[in-house]
Amino acid sequence: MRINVPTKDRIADMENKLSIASGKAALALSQMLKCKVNVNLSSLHIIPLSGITDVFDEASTPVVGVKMSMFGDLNGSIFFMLPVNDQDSLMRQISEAAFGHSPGVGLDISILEEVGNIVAGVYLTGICDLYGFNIYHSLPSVTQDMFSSLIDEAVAGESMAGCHVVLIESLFTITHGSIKTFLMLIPSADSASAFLDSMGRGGNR
Amino acid sequence: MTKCTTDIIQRTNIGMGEGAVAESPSVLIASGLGSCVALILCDKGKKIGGMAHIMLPYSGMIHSPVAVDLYPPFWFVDTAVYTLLDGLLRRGAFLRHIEAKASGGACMFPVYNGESLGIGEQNVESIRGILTAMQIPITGWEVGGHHGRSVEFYLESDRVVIKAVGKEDKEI
Repeated sequence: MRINVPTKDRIADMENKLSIASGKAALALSQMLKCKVNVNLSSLHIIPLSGITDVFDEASTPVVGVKMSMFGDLNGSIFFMLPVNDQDSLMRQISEAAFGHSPGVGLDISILEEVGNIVAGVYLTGICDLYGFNIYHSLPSVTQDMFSSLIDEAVAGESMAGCHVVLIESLFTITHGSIKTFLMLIPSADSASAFLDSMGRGGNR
Repeated sequence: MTKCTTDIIQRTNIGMGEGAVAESPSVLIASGLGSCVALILCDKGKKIGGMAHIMLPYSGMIHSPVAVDLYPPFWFVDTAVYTLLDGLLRRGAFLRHIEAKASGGACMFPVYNGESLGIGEQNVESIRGILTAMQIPITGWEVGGHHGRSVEFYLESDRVVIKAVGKEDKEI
C-alpha cells in the first residue's frame, strides 16, 4: 500500500489545529499545579523513523523520557522527552511555583509522569478530533538515560515497515525562560499507513 | 545506511543497524544502546576486528525470504554475525583466532505482560546461540539490565570500554 505522507500544507494546518491542544495542556497543568503554565506548540514534523536519532545532537545525550503505549485505532509508542538539564530546570520551576520549594526525589518523577500524561493526552485527543480516530494511551513510565537507548526498542520494532514518526515540539514557560520538550508518536507497522494516509488526506477516515 | 568498509578509519561511529570492519589502531563506537546489542568480533593476533550495532534477534521475523535481502544485514543477529565474520575473513583474519564480545540488550522500561522476553533479551539469547553454534569463543559479555550503554572498541589493545550514565566505565 502506498503511504500518503502529509504535505507541508497539511502539516501546517495540523500544527494550527493542534495549537488548541497545547492551550488545553497549559490549562490542565495550571489547574493541577495551581500556578500559571504556558505550553505552546512550536513545531510539528513528520519524519522517517531512521531520522529520529537526529532529534538530539548525540545518540548518547542524557534525557528524561516518559514512555506510554497507544492503542485503539492506532497502536504504537509515545515518548515525551527533554534533556536532563532542562528537566531539572522545568521541575524546579514547577515545584517552586506550585509548592514553594524544590522538588524532592519521587516528587519530580510524579510531576514528570503527570506532565507527560497530560501533554500526550491532549495532543492525542486533538489528533482524534481532527482525524476521527479513537486512540487511548497507557499509564506513563519514566526513565532517565541516553536518548537513543530509550527509543531503540520502539525504533527496532517498527523499522521493518519503514514507518514515520510524528514529532511535536512544545515550549513550556512557567516562571522564567522557555523549555523545549519533544513528544514522539511512533505508530506500529500495522497502523502506520492508515494513520499517515488519513493525515495526508486532511482528516475524517 | 549500511557500511562494511575495508578502509582504515581512526574513529568510526556505528549507528543503529550498521556495522564496520577495521584494523588497528582504529576505534569503533556504538552510542546509546538500549535493547540493541554491540557485537564485536576480533582476531587479536592480526588486530583485525569489527562491530555490529544490531537491532533485532532474527531475520526470520520477516516472513518473506525474498524480502530478507531488502533489509540491511546488520539489523538482525543472524545476518549480522555472518556478514561481520565474512568482513573479517576477507580482511585476512583467521577463523580459529576470532573471539567475540557483546554489550547491550537492556530492558529500558518495565515489561508488564511478563510472558515474552523483551527485544533486548531476545537479541542477547540469539547472539549467544549463534556464537555457541559457530564455536566462536565469547571473551567479553556485559549485557541485560535496565540502563543504556555506549561501547568503544580499541583495536590496538582489544579493549572494549562500556560507558553508562551515572556509572563507572567498565572494560571487557
